Amino acid sequence: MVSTPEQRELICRARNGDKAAFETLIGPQLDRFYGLAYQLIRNEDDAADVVQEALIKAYRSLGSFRGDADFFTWMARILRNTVLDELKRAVRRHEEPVETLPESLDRSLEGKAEQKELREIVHGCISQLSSKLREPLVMFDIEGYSYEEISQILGINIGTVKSRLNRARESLRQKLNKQRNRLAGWVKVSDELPAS
Amino acid sequence: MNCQQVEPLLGSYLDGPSELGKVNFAKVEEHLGACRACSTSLDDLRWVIAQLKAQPRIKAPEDLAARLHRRLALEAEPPRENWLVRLQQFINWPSLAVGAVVAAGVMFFVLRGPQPVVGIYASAVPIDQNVAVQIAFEVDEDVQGVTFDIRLQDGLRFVDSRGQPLQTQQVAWRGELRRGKTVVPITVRGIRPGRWEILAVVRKNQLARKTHIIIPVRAQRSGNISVGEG
Repeated sequence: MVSTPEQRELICRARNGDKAAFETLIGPQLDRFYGLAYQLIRNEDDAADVVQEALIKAYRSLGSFRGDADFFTWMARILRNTVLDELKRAVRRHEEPVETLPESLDRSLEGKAEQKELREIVHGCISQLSSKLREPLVMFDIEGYSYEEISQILGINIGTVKSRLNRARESLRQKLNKQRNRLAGWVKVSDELPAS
Repeated sequence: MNCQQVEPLLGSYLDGPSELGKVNFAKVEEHLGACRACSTSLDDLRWVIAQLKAQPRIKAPEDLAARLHRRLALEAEPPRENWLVRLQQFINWPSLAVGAVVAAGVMFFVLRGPQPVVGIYASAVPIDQNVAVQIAFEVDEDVQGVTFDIRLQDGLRFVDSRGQPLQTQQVAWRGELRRGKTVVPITVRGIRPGRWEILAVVRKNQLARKTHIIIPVRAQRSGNISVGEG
């Protein structure tokens, strides 16, 4: 995967100190970066801070960007590392995550308390996954990253991405099964459902 | 297959026969047709994935771009493109599929004092095999305005990003050496049998330091090389 000619031109200009070129480059990706940071951190303010910090790091590191890599995945890798640093700092500070839910883009969901509750149940179970399993799940199933992008961002091969994703989904299924009482009404829970 | 074998394969099963292989896919399908518990697990898994895919897209806060703009305004210009990155775009340091072997050359570069010539000898490599070579430059202080020059003798060629030999046999560039060790990785290929030399020269004003790396290329294929200083 390589950067587009337009991206390469902007990267070249940004490397020479053109900050507007850098902003043009990352502007269309802000929602994607923020979405990923938010899904991994689960706090709006912290996610915004982390995205800003990661983008400044990326700007300072433009000289080390190799043109044969995809610019977006290079940036996402910096973002992911910054997220991990932030999570480690939070652990050192003994902070409990305080989840803040941003408004959905899908206005049809607004005001539906039940939808929100379901989202909270699902996210509660996702947050119990190890980061090794949570990352590919969030990237692929929620944020829509491709296997190849995840492979490059996490620095693991595509087979490992798929294997971790399947383990994450299976683990999530088992965790959600344990929430079957809260999920009643959302999904038909069979009496014969195998114990997890 | 039994339930214990099938359950971990359900995720791959959803991705189709290409992920699981036709035989395993058929076996899982056969089991699912007969086992209500696993069939229910599969439905659950589909539901879980559907819930994940249905998670609403999160939009960045409206002021994030403006905040970033203000932070960027305080930033100095980014460091210019690293010369090593530029070099790596030209001559390749790949994880080659064709049995690459590594010769490590070390050049100790001191600005003052006598001029040593370091020779590195590798054991023979087969013809047409790509060889990864690391040339390390070590300095005890930052040195600006350094010229690097790497030349290959006739029987060697640099290798491009696809692992194919280039026509060029010399690269030179200006850069800087940071305190400590700077490693320049290159990949070359022996195209003719013989004892061929890689000459790496680093210059600062009138001072120069040279490293000779001898790569014997033999006609037949296979075998590894080891490295020793001479």
